[in-house]
Amino acid sequence: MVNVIPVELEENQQSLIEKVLNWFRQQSVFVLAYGTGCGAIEVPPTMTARYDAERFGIRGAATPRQADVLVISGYLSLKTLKRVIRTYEQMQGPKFILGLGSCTINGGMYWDSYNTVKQVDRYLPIDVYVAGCMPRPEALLAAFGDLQKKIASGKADGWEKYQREIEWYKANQRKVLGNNMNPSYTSDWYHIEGASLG
Amino acid sequence: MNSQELQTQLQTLFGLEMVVKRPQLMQVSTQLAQLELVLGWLHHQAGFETLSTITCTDWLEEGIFHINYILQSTQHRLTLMVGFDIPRDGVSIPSWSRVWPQAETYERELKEMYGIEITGHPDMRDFMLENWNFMPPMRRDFDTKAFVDDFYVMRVGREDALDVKEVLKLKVAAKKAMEAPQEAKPNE
Repeated sequence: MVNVIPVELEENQQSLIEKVLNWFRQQSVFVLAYGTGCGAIEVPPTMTARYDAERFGIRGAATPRQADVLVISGYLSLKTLKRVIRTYEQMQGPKFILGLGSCTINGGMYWDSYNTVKQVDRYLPIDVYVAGCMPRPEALLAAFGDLQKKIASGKADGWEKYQREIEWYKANQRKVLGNNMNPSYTSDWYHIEGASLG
Repeated sequence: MNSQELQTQLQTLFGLEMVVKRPQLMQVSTQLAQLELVLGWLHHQAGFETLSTITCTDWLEEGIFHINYILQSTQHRLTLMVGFDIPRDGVSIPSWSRVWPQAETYERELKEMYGIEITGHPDMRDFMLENWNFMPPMRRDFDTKAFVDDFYVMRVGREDALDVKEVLKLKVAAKKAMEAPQEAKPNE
């Protein structure tokens, strides 16, 4: 059986309208159809008949503009990191990231590879991690359950954190990507005064 | 032709000695200067129409790269590995993409991963690594661990991580200590 670490939910100061909206949001989580690494092999079993994720409201979305969740499934090479950052910035808030597999946590099996990043947390804000190599569909569904609880309690604010601490994230990205950073127009609006939340 | 005929032909035409490794797998060693003649003959006359791959082995101690062209013939059901050595720096090899189009990809890999220059290549762009300004990573003198420690930041919290065997030893020792009979308490 899967050991699910219980998520502690303190009562958050959500207004009634926020509570209602978050209750709706947790039940309709659209996952971007983007398999970044080898973890993507565990997503089809989760979506198909045996472990059916659609009964939880989880279904696939075709483009980042239509998605709520980006699942980083596995290791992130520098080449993929550039594209994932651009994809994440194209998504519309509220948006969440699920880190699938040990590679997103501390580099996993590729901890000593010259081409993979070791902590995805430094480049993008991650809401829920799932440990495993690869986690089974039950674990992935448990993680989606955690994500839903986090959304309902109003604590899944990774996207707001990204906006507040954009300088720190961009500095980290620049350190690994160097000249290969995304063009500035993809994230200019984060720095415009008044648009930032912090 | 079978492997016997191929062996005699390579001996008479180019003076090469072919080694039979398995019933349908053979190996021959040549020089860079002779490469064009040998590969050309193999492709055009001997019926080795397919190039499987181009591999490279880094012999750091001898200071050479050993490059292998692995050719296959469907008509004769044979696989032939044509190998030659080049020094690790300063020598470029010709591109075979006009004869075998798939060679274009393998040569891009050689350039990026080993730093071997290819002449006459139609489209030498990045193979896999973008914006890579460091030593070609498949070379044996590329210190991967030092590079990773320098370039990336590891997550804290696992500095006391032990090897799996050590953990198992500790577990076995702890279990033995638990099950050992209690010592008699000394009288006061």
